[in-house]
Amino acid sequence: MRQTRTQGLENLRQEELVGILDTVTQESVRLGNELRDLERIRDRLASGADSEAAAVQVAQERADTLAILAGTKAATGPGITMTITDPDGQISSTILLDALEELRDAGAEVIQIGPVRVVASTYFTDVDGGISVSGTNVAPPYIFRAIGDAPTMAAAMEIPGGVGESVRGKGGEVTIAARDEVSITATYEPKTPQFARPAPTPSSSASS
Amino acid sequence: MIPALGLLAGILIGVVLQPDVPIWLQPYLPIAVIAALDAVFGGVRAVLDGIFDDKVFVISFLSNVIVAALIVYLGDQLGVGAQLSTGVVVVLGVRIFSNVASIRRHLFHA
Amino acid sequence: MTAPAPTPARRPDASMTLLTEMLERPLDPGYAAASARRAAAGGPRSTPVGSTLVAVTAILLGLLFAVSATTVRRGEASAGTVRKDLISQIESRRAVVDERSAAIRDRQTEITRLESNALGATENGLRQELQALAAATGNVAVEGPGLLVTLNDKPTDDATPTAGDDQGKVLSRDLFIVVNSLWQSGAEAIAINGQRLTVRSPIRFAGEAILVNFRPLSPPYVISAIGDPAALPAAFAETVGGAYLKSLTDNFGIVTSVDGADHISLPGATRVTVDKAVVQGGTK
Repeated sequence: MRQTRTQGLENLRQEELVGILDTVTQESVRLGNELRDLERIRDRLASGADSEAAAVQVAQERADTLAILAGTKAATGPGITMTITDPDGQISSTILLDALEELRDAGAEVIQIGPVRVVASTYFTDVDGGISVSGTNVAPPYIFRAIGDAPTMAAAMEIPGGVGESVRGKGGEVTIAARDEVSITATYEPKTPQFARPAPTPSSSASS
Repeated sequence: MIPALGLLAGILIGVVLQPDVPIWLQPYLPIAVIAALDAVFGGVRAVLDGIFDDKVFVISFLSNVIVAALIVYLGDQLGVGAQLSTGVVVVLGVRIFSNVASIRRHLFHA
Repeated sequence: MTAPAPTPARRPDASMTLLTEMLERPLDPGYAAASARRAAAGGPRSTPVGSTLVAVTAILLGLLFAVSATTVRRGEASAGTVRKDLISQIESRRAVVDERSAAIRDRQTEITRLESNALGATENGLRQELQALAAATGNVAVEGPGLLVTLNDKPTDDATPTAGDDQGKVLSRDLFIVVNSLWQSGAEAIAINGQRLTVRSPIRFAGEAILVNFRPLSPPYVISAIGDPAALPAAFAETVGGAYLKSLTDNFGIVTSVDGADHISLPGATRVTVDKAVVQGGTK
């Protein structure tokens, strides 16, 4: 057991381990904050002192947050707009996928690519004259709008070997503009799941 | 006899005191050791050849160590520290081996 | 006709003077010169070995050897300790992440239950909206039939694989390309090694380690996707991801498998908040 847990870490260089420790620590802090928020909501709901109106208000707030994440409502906030040009038609769907993962890694909360709202199940495929984002053909230049911390997201695009380098290697250009207010107007209509049923007892196990 | 005792005394002092070497100096230690070894074997051979000279011994020791460190430092500044270190080790290593071969011929006539 | 004066034969190794010089005259020429000087002045050819100067140098030499040996050994030991220390710290933080994730899922279940109770019959619409949204965001644990895609590093013969040999290693890019194709094939919910993928879930790397939801994972990597058991496998096989898996095996020896499964259960997501974004035209 011990051996399988350390696997994947023991061959790393010290600087990489420091980086991972930093990431995991930040995540544990973030989860701690989130846990506190959820406990506050639960306590407000459980206290019973609140009237039904208060419960409705809590539920409404939660519905808004979930709607932003699920992509059903337009959202606004500080962030960036990023333009990836592709004069030679060389930018592949993998590069956009890489850019999306990098933005998520940099903490982007809401993202729109061209006219398409990004959700968990957003996918890219290569098509003639551009890239299909979840079935919608998008032609270059590819315009990303993302709500989140602008400096972090801008820096993430320029890490060595990262998105900026790949795009320039294909003859394109990445331009990023920080904005106090990015409005993400595209929405996504969730499909009703046909096969994924809510699990009766939520699994709280987490494997490696 | 006296040099051997001195060497032993130095080793003992080092082991007992365990002085802290500043970090910036540490990369030069291995190369300094090789340079010093070269001076030692050169000195031993000179004794056996009957042409030993204490001043030459001291100067060869000091200059060996300093020049070796300088080359490594220069290499580090140029970004080829590892390659230059290898070069220094090869040159000094060859000298050490031929000196040892000569010492062996003196001592064992073999 | 006289034959030209024979020139001395060139040494065959004349072009390697530096090497021959080094090999043939390893002794510092200073010794010979000093000795010759002394002999010319009528003195002895060699000075005594027992002089103070030699003794002091000998002590310095010994000191240098001892200090180098102890320093280098200590450095090695401490580098090893630091790495071990870092790994154990990462593991303990990872345990904290898992623990808090489990707690977050429990709180979400509680909140959902409390909401259902608190929201009266008049708020039936809101309750259903919440349930639908929670399912859409990956907020709730789900189960169903689907596909398990497994990727594992190329097996190494020696017990201690050398660092830097990443040819046979699964990369984060391999995972997100496969995940991309699974979504394309109509997967409804996906998790990697128990990390549910949401709109905010990054699949990234740090050195050779893969992080999903900011948590380092260990191989093998199992991508569990819930979807139509009849259509998903065939659809996936036709995507870029299906071909990509095969090329990973053929070119890099990465062990992959794609298996249908009747029952897969995925945990709920834990990254379910936003800090900066608000609903446009409304209050958050």
